Amino acid sequence: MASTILRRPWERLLAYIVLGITGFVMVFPFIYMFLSSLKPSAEVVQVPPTLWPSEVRWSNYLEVLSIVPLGTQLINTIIVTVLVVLGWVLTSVLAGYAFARLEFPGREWLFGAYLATLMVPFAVLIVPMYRLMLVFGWVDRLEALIIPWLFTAYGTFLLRQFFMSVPRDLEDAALIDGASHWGILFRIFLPLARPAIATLATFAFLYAWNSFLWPLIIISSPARKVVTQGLVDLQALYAARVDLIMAGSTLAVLPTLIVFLFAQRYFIEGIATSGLAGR
Amino acid sequence: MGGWGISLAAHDAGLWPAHPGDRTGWESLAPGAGCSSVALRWWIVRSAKIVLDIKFIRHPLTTGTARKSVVSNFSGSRNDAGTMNLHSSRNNNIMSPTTCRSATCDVAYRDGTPRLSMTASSGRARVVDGWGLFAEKGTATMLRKHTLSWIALMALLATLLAACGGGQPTTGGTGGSSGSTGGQQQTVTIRWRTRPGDAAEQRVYEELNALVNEKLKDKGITAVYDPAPNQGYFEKLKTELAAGNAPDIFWIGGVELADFVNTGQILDLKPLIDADSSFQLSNFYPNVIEQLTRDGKIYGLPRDISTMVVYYNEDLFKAAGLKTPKELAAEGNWNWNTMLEAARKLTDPANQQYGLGFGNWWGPAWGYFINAAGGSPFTPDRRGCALNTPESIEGAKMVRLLYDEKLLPAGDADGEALFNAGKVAMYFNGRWFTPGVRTNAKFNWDVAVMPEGKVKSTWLFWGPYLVNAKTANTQAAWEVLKVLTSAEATAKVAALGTNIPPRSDKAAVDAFLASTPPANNQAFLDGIPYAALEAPVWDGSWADFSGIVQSLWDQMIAGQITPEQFGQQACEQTTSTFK
Amino acid sequence: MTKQAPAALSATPARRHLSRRVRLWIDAFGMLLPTILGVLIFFLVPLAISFYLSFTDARLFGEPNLIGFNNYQRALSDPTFYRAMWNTAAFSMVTLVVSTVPALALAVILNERIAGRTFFRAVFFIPVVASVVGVTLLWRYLLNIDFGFVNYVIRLFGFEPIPWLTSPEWGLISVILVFSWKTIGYNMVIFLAGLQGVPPQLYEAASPDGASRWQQFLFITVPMLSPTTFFVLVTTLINCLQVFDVPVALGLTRSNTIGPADSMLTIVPLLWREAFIGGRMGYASALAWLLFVIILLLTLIQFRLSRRWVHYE
Repeated sequence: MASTILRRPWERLLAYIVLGITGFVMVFPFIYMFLSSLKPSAEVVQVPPTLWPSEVRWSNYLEVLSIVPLGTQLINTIIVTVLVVLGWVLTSVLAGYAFARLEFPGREWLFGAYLATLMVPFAVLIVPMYRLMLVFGWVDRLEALIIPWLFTAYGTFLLRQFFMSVPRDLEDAALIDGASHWGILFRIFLPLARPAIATLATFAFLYAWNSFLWPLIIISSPARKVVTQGLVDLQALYAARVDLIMAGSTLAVLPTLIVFLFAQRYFIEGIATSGLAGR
Repeated sequence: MGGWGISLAAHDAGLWPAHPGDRTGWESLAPGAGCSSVALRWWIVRSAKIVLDIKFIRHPLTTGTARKSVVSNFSGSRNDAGTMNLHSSRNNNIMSPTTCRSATCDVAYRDGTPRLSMTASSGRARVVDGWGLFAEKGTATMLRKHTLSWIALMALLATLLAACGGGQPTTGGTGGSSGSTGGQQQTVTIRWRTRPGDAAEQRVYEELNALVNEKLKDKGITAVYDPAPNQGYFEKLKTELAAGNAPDIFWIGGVELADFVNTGQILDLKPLIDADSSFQLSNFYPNVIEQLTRDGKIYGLPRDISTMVVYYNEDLFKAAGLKTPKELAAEGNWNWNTMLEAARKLTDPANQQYGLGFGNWWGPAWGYFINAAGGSPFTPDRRGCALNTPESIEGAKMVRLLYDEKLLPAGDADGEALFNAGKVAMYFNGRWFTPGVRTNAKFNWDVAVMPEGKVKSTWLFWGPYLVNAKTANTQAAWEVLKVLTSAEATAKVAALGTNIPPRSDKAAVDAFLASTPPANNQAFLDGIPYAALEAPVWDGSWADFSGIVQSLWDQMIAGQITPEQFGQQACEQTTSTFK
Repeated sequence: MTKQAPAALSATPARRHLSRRVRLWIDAFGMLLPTILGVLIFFLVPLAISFYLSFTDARLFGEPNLIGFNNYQRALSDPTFYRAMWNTAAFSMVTLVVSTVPALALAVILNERIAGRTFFRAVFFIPVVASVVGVTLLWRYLLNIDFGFVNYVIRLFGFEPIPWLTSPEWGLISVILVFSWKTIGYNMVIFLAGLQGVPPQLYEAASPDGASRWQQFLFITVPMLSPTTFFVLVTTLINCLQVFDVPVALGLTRSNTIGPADSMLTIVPLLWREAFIGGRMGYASALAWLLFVIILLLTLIQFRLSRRWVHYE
C-alpha cells in the first residue's frame, strides 16, 4: 500500500469528490427507500418528489405486514439462511480436511471432479431438481430450500486450501499421541480455521438470503415463501401502492444491512480472499 | 388372509378395463352384509402392521410408452387413535395422519399433493378421484402415478377388500359413494377448488364451503374446499385431470376453457340442467352461457363476471368545468371524441396531471381499442388473426395518438397509483380495481360505461366452475355446483368488491348494486349486453398469441413501429399459434 | 507421508500400519460422505435427468416421451431464443466493462493513504449485501418514467425524462445499470485486495528511475494485477450469462413479458418462463444445455486468452 498516485492536494480533493459522488449514488437510494416507506400513498407518486415525508406513517409497515405475510416470510428466510450457513460450514470443513490431509486413493481425482461441478450453471439443474423435489415430496416445503443447498464445492476448495497451509508437525504429534483424525480436525484444525470459516459463512449468508429463482419455483404457499418472493408478490398485487412496496423492500434489506454493520470486516475480507483465490 | 404379511402381485394386465373412463369395467364386489366395513372395522380394532409386495404396472393407455414394471415395498400401520401411517420403502414418503372412518378415507399427503378422498364401501374398491383398483383373491393391479405412496394407500385398501373374498359382481358406475347400504346414510365428499388471490378472498370461499355444507347436510353431501396457489394453477389441474385425481369442481379463467374441454375430462351439464326443474339457466347472462356451450353441450357455470368501465375523478372534472363521463353517457354523447377532448383539457404536464390512464395489457389497451374501432384481434371464426384489418389498425392508431400526445402516464401500473393520488382523471379498469380506490382515493369518484368508438365496446371478464367428468357422483357435484352459483353465494363473493354476480335475477343484482361506492354500479351492468367476452381460442393458443401481440404492441406505442406495421407483423408472427 | 512409527512400539508393524491405513480410509469416507451424497443426489442425478429431459417433450407434470433433437431444433428456430441470446450477449459485454472499470478506479483511489478509506469501502459495499429483489424494486421506483427520482433529476437539468423501464430501447440499459450498481462494490473489494498484494518495493525501485506515476500504473500495477483482473472478468461474465433476479424483478409484466417488448429477456428468465409458466420442461432443459455449452466455451476461451496477458508471480 504505497501512496504513489495522488501526490498533489488538488488530486486528493478530486479523489474525495469522486468518492463522495459514488458514495452518494450507492447510499442515497436506501435513504430514499426508507423515507418513501413512511410517506402517504399519494406523496410517493408526487412530482416534484419530496425527500422528507410530509407526515410520518409508520402504519405503512403494519399495512404491508397485513397484506403480505412478510413477517412469516422473514422468519422463513432466517431459518433457511441459518441452516444453509451451518450446512456449508460443516460439510466444507469435513470435506476440506479430508481432501487436504487424508491420503486415500483417488483423492486428487475426486477433488478435481468436485471442483468441476462449479462449471455447471444452476439453470441446467432447475427442471430436474423440481421433479426430484416432487418425488421427495418437498415441493412447497422449506426442506427444498435447505437440504439440497448444504453442499458447496467452493467452500470445500476454500477450506482445503486453508488446511493445506497448516504445518504438518502439529497433526503428526497428535497422531503419535493416539489422536484420531476426527479429534485432530475438531481440536486443532477447526479453531485455526476460524477466519476461513468466517469468510465462508458470509458467503453462505449472502447466497442464502438473496436466493430468488429456486424459491420462486418450488414454494407457492404464502406462509412458506421467503422474503424475496413476498416482495415480488407485493409488486404484482399492489403495484399502485409504491409506499407499501418501499416499506416491504426496507424490511427485506434492513436485516442484511444490520448484519453487515456488525460483521463488516468478515464480509469485505472474505470477499477479498476469494479474489486472491484467483491468483 | 394368511396372516398379516400379504403378498400381492399383478400377473395379468388384462384385468384392466379397456379404457380408464370405461365405467363398465368397474365391477365391484357387492357389499354383501357390509363386507368392506367389516374388514375395515376389524382393521380399526387391531393395531397391526402389514407389509405388501406389490408389482404395479403403468397403465398402457395413459402414456403410450412401453409397459414397465417396478416392484416396491410398502408398509402401513394403524395406531389405536384411528389414524394410519403408511410408509414406502422407496422414498420414505410418509403420509399421515390418515383418518379412516367406516368406509371413507380422507388422506392428507405430506408431499404437497392435495387431499384425496377415497371411498371403498362397495366391495371392490372404487376410488373417488379416479384411482382404479382391482382386487380379487389377493391379486391387485393398479394404476401408477409418479407418487408411489398413493399406491401404498390403494394397496392397503386392496388388502382390506381382498379379505372379503368373492362376492357377486355388480356394476358400480357411481362407485360406493351413492350406495345406500342397509339404510345407513353415507356421505359423499365433493372437493372443489378456486385460486384465491389473498387471505380475504380465501376466507370468503371458506365461508361458501360452510354454506354448501349447511345446505346439503340433509342430502349427505360434504364439500371440501381445496384452494390452490396461483403459480402453475392451470397446468396442475390439467395434469391432475389426466391422472384422475383432480377436484370434482374447479374454477378456471374464461380463456382457459378450450384447453380444458379439449382434454375430454369436463362433464357436460346439459342432462343435469334439463333434469332439474329447480334450476333456471336463464338466470345467468346468456352471452356467458353461450361461451360455455359447444355442440349443444354445456361445460360449466360462471362463478363471476367483471366488465371494464371508466373510473373517473369527479373533482377534477368539476374543477375544469367539464361534464363527467356519466353525464355525457346520459346525453348519449360519450365517445372517443368527447373522451379525447376531456383528456386533453385535463392533462396538465406542469402539474403532473393526466387526462387518461390504463394498464398496458390486452384488456384496456389493444383489446378494447381495436374492438371499439370496429376491428377484432381474431377473424370471426377465431381461427386466425385480424389485427391487420383497417379497422383494427384504426384502433392502434388511436392509442398511438394518446401516447404521442402524452395524455396518459407511460408506465404500465403508474396510472393506478396516480389515479388513486388524484392525478389521473379517467382510468379504464375492471371491477377488481374498486376495493383499492375505496381505500386510497381521497376525492369524489364514480364510474361510467366505456366510451363509444366506432362501435360500443367493453370487455366482459369471467370465469366458470367446471365439473370433472370423472367425479364419482355427478348428482352430488351438481348439488354443490348449484349452491356455489346461487344468488346467495355469488352475492357473497361480489361483496368482496372485486367482481359481479354472473346472474341477472333480482336477488343477485340488488346485492351487487348495493355494494357502493361507486354510486353508478349500474354502469358495470350496462356494458354486459354489448361487451366482448374474454373467450377461449378453440383452435390455437391464446397465451402464445397474446404474448407475441403484446411484444409488438410495446414497440408500437414506443414509436418503434407504425400501427400498420404492428397489424401486419402481429398477423405474420402469430400464424403458428393457430392450429 | 506421516513418519513411521518406531518399530519397538509394535510387535507387528506391518499389520498395524495397514489397520491404520484402513482407519484413515474409513475416516476419509466418513468426512466425505455428506458431500458425496449431496453431489450424487442433488447434482449428478439431476444433471443426468436434465440431459435426458432435453430430448423429451416433458411438461410440468406427467410422463415424458423421447422426441430426439426436436427441442434443440426448436430453440435454433425460435426468434424469442435469439432475442434472449442477443440480450444476454449485449448485457454481458457492456456489464463486463461498466461493472469493472469504475471498480478498478475506485480501488486505486482507496489504495491510497487517505482518511476515511474503511468508511468508503463499507459504503460502496452496501449494495452488494442488500437483497437483490429489494433493491431492484427500489430501482423500479427510482427509474419510473412518471414519478421516479432519477427522471426528476434529469428534468431538473432540463432534459426530457428517459423511459428507462417503459421503452424497448432502454430496458436492457436499465438492467445493466442496476446490475452494475450492485456489483461494483464487490469487484472493487477484490481489486483492492489485489492491489494490496503488489509488493511496494516494485514502486520504490521504479520511482528513482524517473518512471511517471502513469507509467508505474501501466507497467507495474496493471501486470501485477492481471490475475485478479482475470478472476473478476471470469466471475462477472459467468454471473452475467446467468442473470435472473434483476431482469425479472425489474421487468416482469402481467403479460409475462420481461420488460417492454421482452427487452430485458435474457436466457435464464426465458428458461424459467418456458418451464414454469409455459410448462415446457423438455424445451427448457434443452435451453439450459445450450447455455451450459456457451458458458463452457467462453470460459475455455477466456482461459486460453489469459495465458497471453495474465502475469502470475
